[in-house]
Amino acid sequence: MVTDLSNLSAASLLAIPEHSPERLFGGGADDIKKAFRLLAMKWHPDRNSEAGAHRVFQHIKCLYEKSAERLEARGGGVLQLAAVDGKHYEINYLRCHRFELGSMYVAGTVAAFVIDLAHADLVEAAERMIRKLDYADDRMRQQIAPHLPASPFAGAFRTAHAWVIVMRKRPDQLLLRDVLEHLGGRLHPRHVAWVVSSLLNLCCYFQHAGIAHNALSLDTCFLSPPDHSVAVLGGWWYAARLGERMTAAPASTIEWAPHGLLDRKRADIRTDLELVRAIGRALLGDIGGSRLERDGAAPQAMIDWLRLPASSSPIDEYRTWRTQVLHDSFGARRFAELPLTQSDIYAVDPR
Amino acid sequence: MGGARWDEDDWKRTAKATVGKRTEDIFTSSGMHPKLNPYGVVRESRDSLVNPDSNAIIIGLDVTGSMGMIADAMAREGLGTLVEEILKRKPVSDPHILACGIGDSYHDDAPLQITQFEADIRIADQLKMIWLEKGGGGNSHEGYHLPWYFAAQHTQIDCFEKRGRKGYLFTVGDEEPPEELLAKHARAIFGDTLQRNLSMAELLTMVSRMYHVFHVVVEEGSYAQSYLPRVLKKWKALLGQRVLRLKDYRRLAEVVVSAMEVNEGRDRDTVANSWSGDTSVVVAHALGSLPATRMGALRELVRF
Repeated sequence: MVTDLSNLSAASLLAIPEHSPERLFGGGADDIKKAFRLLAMKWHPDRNSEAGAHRVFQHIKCLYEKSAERLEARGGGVLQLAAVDGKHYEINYLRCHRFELGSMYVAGTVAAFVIDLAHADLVEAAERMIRKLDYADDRMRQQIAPHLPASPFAGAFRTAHAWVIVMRKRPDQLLLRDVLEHLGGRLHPRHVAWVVSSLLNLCCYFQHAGIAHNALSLDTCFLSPPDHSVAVLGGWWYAARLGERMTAAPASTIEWAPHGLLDRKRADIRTDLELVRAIGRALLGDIGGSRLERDGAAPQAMIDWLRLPASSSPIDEYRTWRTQVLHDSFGARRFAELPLTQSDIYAVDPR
Repeated sequence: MGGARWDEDDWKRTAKATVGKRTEDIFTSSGMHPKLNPYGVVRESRDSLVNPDSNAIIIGLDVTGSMGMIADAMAREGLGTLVEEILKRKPVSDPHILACGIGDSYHDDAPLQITQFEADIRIADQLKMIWLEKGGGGNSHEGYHLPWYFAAQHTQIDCFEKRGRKGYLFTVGDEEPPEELLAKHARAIFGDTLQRNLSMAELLTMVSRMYHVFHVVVEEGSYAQSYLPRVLKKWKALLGQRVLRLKDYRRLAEVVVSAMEVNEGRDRDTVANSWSGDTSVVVAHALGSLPATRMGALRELVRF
C-alpha cells in the first residue's frame, strides 16, 4: 500500500489499475476509509480546480469501492450446510471467495467448494480425475501427492442447491490470492521463483499422468511458506486428459492460455505452462507483463522468461528455469524465508 | 504519446495536399527514417487529459512490391476515415493509432518501420515518413509477425495496464504468414536476445495477452490473386474468423472500424448495413462470419 498519499500525483494515482485497489488502499476498514477521506480532501472537484481532478477523484472512488467490496468478502464466519440426506455440517471458515461455479470457503484445515447444481457434470469429472491420479512409484507419490487433493475428499455431499466438496489442507497452506493481497499486490521475486519452481514441478507430474489441469491461478493454488511448495487444490473441475475434449474453462484460462485453445478445445499441457507464467507475472504485480521491466519487478532473466511463451515440454521448461533463468537471476541457490502464517493473513483484520 | 485530439480541419488540409500527387511525391523517404526504427525502442499509449480513456490501435501495412498502394490510400483518404469513424461510431474511445510499414525480415533493409502512438494529425505526418521500400523477397510471406512481436514486447498501453482492455492490432497484406520469427532477426531488428526462434502460434499467444489481433488479406494484391486459397488457409489456421478479406483496398479503414465494432459486441449485419453503397458490400465480405464477442462478456465460465 502507498503510505504518503498526499504527495501522489494525478498520473501516479491514475496508473493504479482498477484490479489492484490494494496498491492504494490497504489494511482494515478504518484504514481504507481514512485513506479515502484524505484523498477525497485533495481531489474532490469541489476542493480541487485542476483540470482532470474530477477524473482522478472518480478513479480513487472506484478503487475505494473495490477495496471495500473485497474487505466485505474477507470476513470469516460459520458456513452451515444441510445435506439432502438429512445430515448437517458446519465449517468455520476464514475467508470466502466467489468463483465462477459458486463459492470457495478457506478454513484452517480444509477448503470447501460450494458449487451450483447446474455444474454437477464438472464436479463429477473432478472426482473421477482426482481418484485416478497415479504415480510411477512411492517416491513420486511422496513427493507429489501432498500437493494435490487427497482422494477420497474430506467430504462430498449435496444440498438442495449445491454440491459441496471439502478438501483437506494444512493450516500453513495459504491461498495465493490472499497472500498476494496481504503483501500489497506484489511478492519479492525470490518468492515468486520458488512458487514457479513448485508449479513447474507439478506440471511435469501432470504430463506424466497424462492430464492438463487447465485452471492454475491465484484462486486455485495454495502456497506453503515453510515448505516452499505449492498445492493445487481448486480448479480440478476443468482438468482433462491430454488431447481429450475440454468441457469448460474459466475466463482466466481463456485469457492467458495459448492462442487457439478456444478453437481446438483439447487439453494441452501448454495451457498449464502458460498459466504458470501468468501466475508468476501476477505475483510480481503485473499479469500482463508489460510493466515488469519498467517497474524493475524482478531480474531481467526472470522477466524475459515470464513474458516469453512456454514451450510444449514441462521437463524442458523446468530444466531451463532451474539451470538458466534462476541462475542468471539470483546466482547460487539459497532459501528465502517468507515469514507468513495463516494468522498473519486472516486474523489481522481489525473488524 | 497521444496527448492531443484529432482535428478534422487539420486532416482536410493534409489530405488536400495529396491531391494530384504521385505516391512517390507523398512518401518521399529513400531509407528508413531514424524515428521509425524499431531497434531498442518502446512505444507508449498513455492517457492524458484530452484522451482520458485511450485505446491503442496498431495498423501494420505491407509496403513490399505493389502493396505500397495501401499506404498511399491511407495517406490520401483512409486515415481520416479511420479516425473520424472511430470517433463517430465509438467502438472504442480516444483512439491512439500507431502505423507500421511491414517489409520482409529476410531480405529488406527496413523490415519494420513504426510510428508513435498518436491521436492527432501527427499520425498522418509520420505515416508519410514510412519508406515504401517495395522490397519483399520472392518468398511466399512478409514480416507480418514483426508487429506482433513488437506489440507484445515493446509497447506499453494504458488501456490494458489501467483498465484491462486489450488494444487492437491489424496487419494488412496479400501474402502468407511466415513460419516463425528467427532469433537472429529479433536481434537485428529489435536488438532483443531470444534463446530460440518463436513460432507464429507462440507469437500470437504473446501478443494476444494485450491485443485483439486481426489480419486483413488484400485480395487485389498480386500474390493473393494467384494463391488466395493458400493464403486464406494459412491465415485462418492461425487466426480463425479474425481473418478479414478485403476486396477493395480503398475501403481498409471502413473494414477495420467495422471489425472493431463487431468485436465490441455489435451485430455483424447491422454494422455492414450501416455503410452506404459499395462500402457495405465490401465490409460484409470482409467480416465474413466474424462473431460478435463483447469482451465484457468474457467473464467467469466458458462452456465448450
